[in-house]
Amino acid sequence: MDLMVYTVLTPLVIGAIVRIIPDMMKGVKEGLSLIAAAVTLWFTIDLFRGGFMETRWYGHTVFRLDTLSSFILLWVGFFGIAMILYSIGFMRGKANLKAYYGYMLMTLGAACGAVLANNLVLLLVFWGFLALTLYLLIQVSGPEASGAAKKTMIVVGGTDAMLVLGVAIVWMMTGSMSLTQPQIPTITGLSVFAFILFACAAFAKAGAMPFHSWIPDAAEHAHVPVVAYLPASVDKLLGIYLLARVSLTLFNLTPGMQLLLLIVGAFTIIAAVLMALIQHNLKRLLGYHAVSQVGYMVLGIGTLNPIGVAGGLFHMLNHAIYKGCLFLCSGSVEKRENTMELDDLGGLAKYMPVTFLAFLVAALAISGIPPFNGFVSKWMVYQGVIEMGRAGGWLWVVWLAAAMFGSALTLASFMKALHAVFLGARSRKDKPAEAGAAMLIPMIVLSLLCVIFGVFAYAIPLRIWVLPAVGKVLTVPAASAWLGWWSPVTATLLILLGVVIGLVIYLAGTLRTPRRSAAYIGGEVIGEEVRVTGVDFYETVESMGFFSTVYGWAKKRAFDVYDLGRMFSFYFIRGLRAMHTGILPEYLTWMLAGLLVLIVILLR
Amino acid sequence: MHYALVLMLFMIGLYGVVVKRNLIKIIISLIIMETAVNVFIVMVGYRSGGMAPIMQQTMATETFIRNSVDPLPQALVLTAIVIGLGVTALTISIAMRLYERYGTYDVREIRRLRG
Repeated sequence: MDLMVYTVLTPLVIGAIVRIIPDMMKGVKEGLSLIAAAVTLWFTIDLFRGGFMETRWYGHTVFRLDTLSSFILLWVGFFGIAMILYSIGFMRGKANLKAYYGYMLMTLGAACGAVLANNLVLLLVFWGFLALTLYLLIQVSGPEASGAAKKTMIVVGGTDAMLVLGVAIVWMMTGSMSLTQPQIPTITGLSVFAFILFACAAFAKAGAMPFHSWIPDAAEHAHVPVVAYLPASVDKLLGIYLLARVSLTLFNLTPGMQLLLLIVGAFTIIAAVLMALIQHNLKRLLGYHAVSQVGYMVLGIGTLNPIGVAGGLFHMLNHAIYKGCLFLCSGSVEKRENTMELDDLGGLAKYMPVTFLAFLVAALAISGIPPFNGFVSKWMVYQGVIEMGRAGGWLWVVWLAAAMFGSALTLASFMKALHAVFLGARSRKDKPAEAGAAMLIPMIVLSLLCVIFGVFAYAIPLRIWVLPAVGKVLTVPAASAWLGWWSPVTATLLILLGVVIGLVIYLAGTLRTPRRSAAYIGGEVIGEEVRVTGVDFYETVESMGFFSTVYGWAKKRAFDVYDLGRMFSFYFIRGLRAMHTGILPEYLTWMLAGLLVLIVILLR
Repeated sequence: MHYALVLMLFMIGLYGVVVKRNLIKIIISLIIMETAVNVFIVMVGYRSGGMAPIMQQTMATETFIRNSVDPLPQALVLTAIVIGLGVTALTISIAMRLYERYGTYDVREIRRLRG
């Protein structure tokens, strides 16, 4: 037993205890969960400082810690405590609390196990357990979430089955179950198949395009901390961790497989952000963005050169931070307003200033505006794509254009969300209060991280976490070779200078009180019910010729793996369905008939 | 001949379980089937002109073995009757819960298992 085993076991065991604590003991579940998460974070920090470690049982290396896994592990622990702290504020008064906290802790433990596992079978076990706790956590949110939970279970569980098959093929080919074995070239058909199976599992966990469809549904129905914890942060960390492990160490990719990754990445960026543009529910909109951003990570890893991979991993970290922050902000809005429909929200900036600022910072970061962290990692992904283009070919222009265009569309859709939720006119008369301290602290910490990781991108996150992690598998060039002219601190100072000058000009303009008058609308009287919201910003896009057809298909769920799969399987089992009448005596008759046949066969 | 009668009794019970729609009638059919099985087991241990399998002090072991019936089926059937009582109580309580839930004893109405 060593520290790694304790890191995995502590949250699992305490989670099981929290699950069975009687409801009468108020505050115990919350306190115990917080302590468990804090202890786990402490362990992960200790592990991170310790560096390389191995746990051997019966001659097999079960747990293994290197720079990549310790980096992921640290952030899994960080998000665990941040989300549980937020839950204490958010979940107060909600039903099924002990199940909720219990499953949260079990998820934390299983995620630590999946990151630390060196044995493929052990990885499978933790991976499957994560799918189960994800299902249960969505299910906890109430009866309307059960459809989303079932969908999640089927999509994630189905790709888990693919992972099992992939592990079996790898074992057949190499005879070893270790994640860190010699690289398998993807030349033969079998190894290509195995790689695709592994990639599918990683895509489903992270939410890349063919297997994305559970994220928006889960985001819409589940409790906000659940969404911020699993689909937005920890599942991204794990999915991209697996993708990086698989495509960098387990397999040696040929250009064909690399092309597959690039296509998935670029397509995910564009398609998901186009869907996000037309959403009317804030959580669903954020869910589509959680899908879209995965495209950058897949694209970054698909470049297979150090800058691109570092950019992809850094973007994974940044995404977890700002998307977690965005979901938490939407949660505090939901707590006060009890709705997530953009049509009913508006004008909250005045009443919830801290939430607004945190949302603004995170929204700018996700849109890739300097000096926030999203810009740096996207910039690194772009550089990686350009670097790949030096080798020849012209396809890299397509990937670059997709990534940049996607970034612009992200900004566009966040303009809509910001305007509809925080600016614009308020639809109700009451004055909502700012969120409580337990909810504000994680939001503030996450949005501060957005700023710090952007301004001191090289000094803090890249030097400490990302580059050592990449350096494990690829040789990283010196910073001066690729940072180029981009100096975040100088850029930030220049931007601040610009903002200050703008502010001065604005203040100078308002020294004399300007005349304010209502907007002239041709003499019409504006009714009480007419308000300007951001919801219809992009309705023109939706009604354009080509896009309207595609959106129409998307609304009929023609692109959803889950619905396609359901149609397919229901087609094949329609005979069996007709037999299931639900009348028990008929089943009994079938059984008797079967018994008779057995007797005839066995006594012959 | 006797065995055919037992088989008939069993088949009557089976017919009731498969064909009847009322849960109470199905439970009664189950009891009939159970009785058929019990009678069958007792009949296996039947011995024409046999004595009760109670050994007296004065009796020689040989005469006891020659004359007494087999005690095993009877002990078995006693146990089976008690278990049958428990099973019947359980089915009836489930039937009551079903009636509370669906408001009917008709098994065609209770079809949440439909595919």
